[in-house]
Amino acid sequence: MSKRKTTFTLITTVIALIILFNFFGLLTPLKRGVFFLIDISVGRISGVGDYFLYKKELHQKKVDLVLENHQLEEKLLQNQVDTTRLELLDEENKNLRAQLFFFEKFPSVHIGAQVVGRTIDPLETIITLNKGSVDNVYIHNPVIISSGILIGEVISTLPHASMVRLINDNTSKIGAMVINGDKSIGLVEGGYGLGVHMNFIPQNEVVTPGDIIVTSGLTEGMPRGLIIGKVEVVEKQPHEPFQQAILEPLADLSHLTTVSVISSS
Amino acid sequence: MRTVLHILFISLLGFGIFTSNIFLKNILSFPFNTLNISFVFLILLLISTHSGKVVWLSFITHLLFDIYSASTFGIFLCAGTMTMLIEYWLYQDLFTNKSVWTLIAMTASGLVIFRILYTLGILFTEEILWADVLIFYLWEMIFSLILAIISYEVAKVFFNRA
Repeated sequence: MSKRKTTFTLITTVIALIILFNFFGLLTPLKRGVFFLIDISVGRISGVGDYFLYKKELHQKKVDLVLENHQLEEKLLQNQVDTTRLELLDEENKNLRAQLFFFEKFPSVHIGAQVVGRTIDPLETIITLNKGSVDNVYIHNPVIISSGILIGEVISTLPHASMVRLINDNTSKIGAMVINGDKSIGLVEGGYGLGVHMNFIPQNEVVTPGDIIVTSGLTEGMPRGLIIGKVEVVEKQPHEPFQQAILEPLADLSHLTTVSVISSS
Repeated sequence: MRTVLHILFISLLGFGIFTSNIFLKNILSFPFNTLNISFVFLILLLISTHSGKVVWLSFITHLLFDIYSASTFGIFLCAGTMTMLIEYWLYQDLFTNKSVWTLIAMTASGLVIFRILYTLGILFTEEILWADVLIFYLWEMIFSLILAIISYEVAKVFFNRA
């Protein structure tokens, strides 16, 4: 027990002396030496530690950047979706405004419809609308877009849907008229979705590229004056009684979204 | 001459323990940096050597901590050395064997005594945020015990093989 007491006293005394020495600044040389050693060893070790920390931070930054990049990619995609939607809405808006403007000048019963489908048969160019007989859509009703540009006619109806044969379908036949001096009359026919031409134009009448073709009003259910397209090329053979014009439709028939059906009722 | 070499060896070992502690504090993040490697090493050394020199080793190590620390001089020195002295006596009278349970009991009791003495030391000089301090002590206890057990098992395998 006395040994322990001695040990305790010795240690306490040494500690007290050390604290006392420190209080009077006698430990300063020792501190300097220790700090010198600490600077050499711990400084370098801290450097290693800093290196690991730097690596860790770098890794964290990398992870953050990947995450941020992923979020930005998602945002970009969302923006692209929004832009596309906006562009489509803008186009639809323009189309609807043009249709509205047309019907202000051309008063008639009309039904706005969305194109909901297109035939997959390569020999047919037929689209499906989301309006049918319930909405007063009938067979032979003309279908227009924009400011009265004819795109086709209704060929069959269901209560809530209807089929429209486009003017470039090979079975499409519409009475038409050239806006020229002679007001030449002919028949606009489609060609397997690839083009539109106007046949049976009298040989002696002058048709030139750029002339506008409109409906003549001679086809059942088709009012006069709906624009079909413009003449691109005129084919004329001296030995034939009629000349032919290849037309450029004014509507993009492959990208239709919103149309109006002019109802006969 | 032998005594001088002994003192030099103990001083170098103390410096080694101190730098290891600083190194781990630098590279590990919270709560792993709460690990008290110096205490674990001193306890392991005490159990394996059963020598009172460990108390002087603790003295050197904690003196370095005090020099390096910004808190009032003497707190680490007093708390660390006195704790190791008490642990030494406890090992002589109470725990006596070299089992893992002794190691756990000594590490836990050592940390508790050290932190009580340390807290008493800083109580009058610094403002203590008790919640943070207690969380720190708890983590220190957990990680130090884990390290002590792992070191013990590794040392057991190593020395048995040797």
